[in-house]
Formats: sequence, structure tokens, C-alpha cells
Amino acid sequence: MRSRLIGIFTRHLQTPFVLLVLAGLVAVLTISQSFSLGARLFPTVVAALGILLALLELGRQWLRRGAREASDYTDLGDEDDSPLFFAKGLLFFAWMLGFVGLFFLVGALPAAGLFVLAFLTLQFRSPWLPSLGLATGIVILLWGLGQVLQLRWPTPLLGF
Amino acid sequence: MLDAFVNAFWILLDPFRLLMLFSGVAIGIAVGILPGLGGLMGMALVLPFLFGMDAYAGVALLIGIAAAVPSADTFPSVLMGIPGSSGSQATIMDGYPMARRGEAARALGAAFTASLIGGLIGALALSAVVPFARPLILAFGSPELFMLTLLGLSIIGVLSGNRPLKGMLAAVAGLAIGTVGGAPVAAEYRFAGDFLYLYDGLSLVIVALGLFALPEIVDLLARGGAIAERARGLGHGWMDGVRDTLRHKWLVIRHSVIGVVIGAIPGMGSSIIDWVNYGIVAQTSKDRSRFGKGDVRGVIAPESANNAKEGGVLMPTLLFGVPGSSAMAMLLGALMIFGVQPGPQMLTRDLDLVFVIIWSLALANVFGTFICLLLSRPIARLTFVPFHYIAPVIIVIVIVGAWQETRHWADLAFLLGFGLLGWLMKRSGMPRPPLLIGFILSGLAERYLWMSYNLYDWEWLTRPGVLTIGALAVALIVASVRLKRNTSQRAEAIQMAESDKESRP
Repeated sequence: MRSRLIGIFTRHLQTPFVLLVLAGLVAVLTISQSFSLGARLFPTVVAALGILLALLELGRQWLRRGAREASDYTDLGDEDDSPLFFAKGLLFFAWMLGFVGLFFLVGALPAAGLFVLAFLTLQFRSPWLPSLGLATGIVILLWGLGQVLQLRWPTPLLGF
Repeated sequence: MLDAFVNAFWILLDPFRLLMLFSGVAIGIAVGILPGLGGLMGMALVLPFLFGMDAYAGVALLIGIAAAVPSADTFPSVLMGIPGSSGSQATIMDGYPMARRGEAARALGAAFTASLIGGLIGALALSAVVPFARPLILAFGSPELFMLTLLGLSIIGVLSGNRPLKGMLAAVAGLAIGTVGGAPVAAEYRFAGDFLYLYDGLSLVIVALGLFALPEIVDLLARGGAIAERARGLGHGWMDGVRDTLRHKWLVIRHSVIGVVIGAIPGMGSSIIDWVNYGIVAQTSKDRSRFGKGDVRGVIAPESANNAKEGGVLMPTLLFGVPGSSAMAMLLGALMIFGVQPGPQMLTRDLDLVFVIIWSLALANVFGTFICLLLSRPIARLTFVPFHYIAPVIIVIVIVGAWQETRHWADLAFLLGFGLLGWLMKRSGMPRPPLLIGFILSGLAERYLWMSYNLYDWEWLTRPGVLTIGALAVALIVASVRLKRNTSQRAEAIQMAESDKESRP
């Protein structure tokens, strides 16, 4: 059921996406009418043009409904729109979210080490030794970068 | 003009700036050899670390990356038959068959030498154009500059994806996102509500990293496995490759010039340049029997054009402030970080910087070629490292880099938000480069529009310069779409013919 839902979602993603852009542009057009002329002119022109393009694109999609769209040119291949691929992609975003959470919770350097170690051993079942080596390496790299470039880190919520 | 040219060379010889140029080349080589990553991502990765650098050093770093990628992306094309970036697809046609018969070193030697000469011709062409274009460009007023910005944006929108409407829509969405925050021509904050973070507008670093770095990493991870399962040995024949290129010097010059010319049209993209040049060399050579089976000319032509095009894409970028490619949009964004106003003003106020960019391009090509030639064995070995060992390091650098932007939690929230947006755009067939370019050009376009409206009301639309640029835009878009369509059809036909040959017993 879940994979079917994801499948439907990815195949028909282009229309909701354009609708989302259209909604955003309508909001820009509406909100910008309350601004002074100097602040209003550009957003009005841009939003009006965008709404026209979005409607034309929706019309094109309606005429070509059912046909698959190729992705943009930076892609390596078109094999990447299976439900499993989509689910995997979201999982990796969840890993990043986890790292961001750790970043604020325990501080940048420990979070970087813990994230690399957990990511390699839990997600990819990598052997401990190279994973630990890479985790230590990234902590040292960040520390060095912090010293050289005067980087600032967040104050950890857990107070390390 | 000559003074500025010579002065720029001395400026670049500062040890720290040279170090930055060299670092850029090293990063460019690293992202170039890893298929799926590219110059755009490399540039996005270093953006957060530009703050505090002087403009010359920062620009040298970025140009180093942009110039080294077209050389380094040849490794996976020749060794594995996988394009290192979109600009090295055609190199596979003859480079990979050469590697299969044990001549990888010869193919790489020829490719790097052709890349070096092409890159230098690109830099030379750019420096030759600046003095001639300067008086013409300085005669432009705000209406013409606004039309030029729209022209560049429309061409990029139309050409960068598979669907012109989607590309244009993405570009307009980028312009709209760029209006968030303080209005450049009125004392008003727009679309920010009470959220102080948005008063300064969204940051280029966050948008660029989110749109281009995260989606690529996620896709490569989701695809899984090592980048290369196996690769051929390098073999011998480096000098044979160098000699091949020198023997075909006119071919190198011809294709470098073609690379510069097509590269100067915003949005044409490296894959089109690559295939156009492969098509030309395969069509115009007397003996065509060996193309697709490992003819060194099939490596030399696209590689020389691919490096030369960097000189071409810099032309609209530096002369008009209209980015020739998405990587150049990133360069324009970086210039704004340094307080440099892109566009014609650069040719008066920041002429030194323009020539530093040209010198950086030339030197980066030299550095890149020598590093690729001298360190080819360890560089080739990098392609065997499984991507899941590289990905967490890049993720950490991206997130730490994004945090340095304003050190506000919203930096990371917007980073992930734009990452997800970029990834969904990939899935829904919406090209991302026009969105980024629209976002970068938004402030500039708004200023030009306001000045035009203020000075001429809507009558600016009837100025001869505006009408000429408008007509040019239509003609250029039609011609470019045709060229792109023909190139794609020809590339497909070539690839199908090759796969037919391979499947035949």
C-alpha cells in the first residue's frame, strides 16, 4: 500500500508541484498589492508572468496526461523514480535531520563524529575500524577548519 | 586596459591567492572525477567559506573549481564509460573503447593536452573580447540591461531542462523567491512577516547548497554501491596522447573556437557543446571509419571545446552580468558577497577583478592539466572509494558551512527545506539551474526595472535597444532550441548505433 502510494505520488508529482508554485505566485501577487509602488512593481510583474506560465504548463500537462516526464539534465539516469528509490531518498533526508538535531543537542564536533560513525555502521553496515577512523578524521578536520577560519559553533543544549 | 591586464597578473601572484586557486583546482578535480557531483556542487560547497577572504582570492578559488572540472571529468568517461559530468558524455564514445584496448593513458594524455590548449584559447578569447565589448556595453541604459537580464534568464530557462515552460517557470519562481526581505528600491520588508531572519532575504549559500548539494548526495546514496565497480588499468602511452593532440593542432583550435562561441550563449550547457563538437568532428573527418571504436580525434574535439567553453560562458557573465551557466551564476552570487556589482560597472570599477578572473582561468587550466597528468594513478583510484564513505563527510561540511551563514537555526531549516525542494524538482522534471539563476538575478533585475520605470515610465519598452534585444532574444531562443533538439537527436542516434554494434555477435 505504502509503495503504491509513493508510486502514484512520484508519477504524478509534476502537477501538484506546478500547482504549489502557482499557489505561491498567487500569494506573492496578492500580498504585494499592499506594498508601496517601489516594493510592489517587481513582485507584481514577476508573479503575473509566473501565473501565466504556470497555467500554460498545467494546460500542457493536461494535454499530455499519462506521459512520463524526463528529469532535468543534471541527472545521471531515469531509473531513479521507483517507490523504493523515493523511500530511500527520504530516509537519507531523515539522517540529515538527525544530524541537525544532534548538532544543536551535543555541539558540532561531537555531532559530526557520532553522525559519521552511526551513518556508516548502522546504515551501511561498514566495519567499525574504517568508520571510527573516518569519524575521528572528520572531527579533526572540523576542529582544524574552525581554528584556521575562525568558525563558530552552536552552544550545545546538553551543555557539553 | 593593458595596465589592468598586467596588474591583475601581479595581483594573482600573491601566495594566498595562488593557494586558493590551487585549492579550487584540487576541489574541482575531486568533484569532477566523482560522477553525479559537478562544478556547481563544488562551488556551492566552498561558498560559506568565502566570507572574510578578499574578492581576488575568493574568485580564484571558484574559477579554479570551474576550470578543473572539465579536465577531471574525463577520468570516469575514459576509465569506466560513465560521464564524470554532463560535459564529458561524448568523450566516452572513443575514450572508453581506447581504454578497453589498453590505451587509457593515451586517451587521457590526449584529452588533458586538448583541455589545456582549449582552456587557454578560451581565456585568450575572453581577454580579446573585453576591450572591444567595453564601449558598447557602457552605452547601455537600465532598460537595455533589464532586457538583457530577462534575455539571459529566458534562454537559460528554455534550454536547461527538457520542457521550456517548466524552465521558465522555475526561473520566475527564483525571481519571486529573491524578492523575500528588504525591497532594494523602497524602505519596506516583503514576505518576511515578523520573522527577523528573513529581513535580509534568503541567503545564496543556503539556497545553492540546498538546491544542488543535498539532492545529488541523496540520489547517489539511494542508488547505492561504489561509483565504479571496476575500471581498466591506465596502461601506457601518455606521450603518444600528447603527441596525438599536437599533431591535430588545427582540430584543437577549431573545436576550441566552437566551444567558446557556443559557450557564450547563456544556458547552452556543456553536454550540448560536447555533443555538437563530437558530431562535427565525426561528420567532417575524411576517414570516419574509426569513430566510436577508439579514434583519438573523438576525444580531442569534445575535450578541447569543453574547456574552451569556460571562456565563452564568462563573456555574458562578466560583460552583461548575465550568467552563462549555473556555475557562473554562483560566481556572480559570490561577487555580490564581496560587494561587487556584476554587470557593465565591473568593466569600469572592477576591471582588475575581470582580468584576475581571466588569469585565474588560464592558470587553473595549466594547474589542472599538470595535476591530472602527474597524479593520474592516485586520482583514478579515488573512483573506487564507495560513495557512502564520501557522503557523510560532504553532508557534515554542507551543514557546518550552512550554519556559518548567520548562525541561526533557520539556516539549517531552510537548507533542508531547499534540499527537499531541489530533490522534488529533480523527481518532477523541473530544472533547478533556472531557479537558482532567477534567485541570484532577482535584486539586479528589480533595480533595472525600477530605474527604467522611474526614468521612462512604460515607454522604455519602445526604446530601439530594448526592441532589438527583445528580437534577438526570440531569434536566439528559437535557434538554440533547434540546435539543442538536433544535437540531442544526433547524440541519441550515435549512442543507439554504438549499442547496436556492441550487441551484434
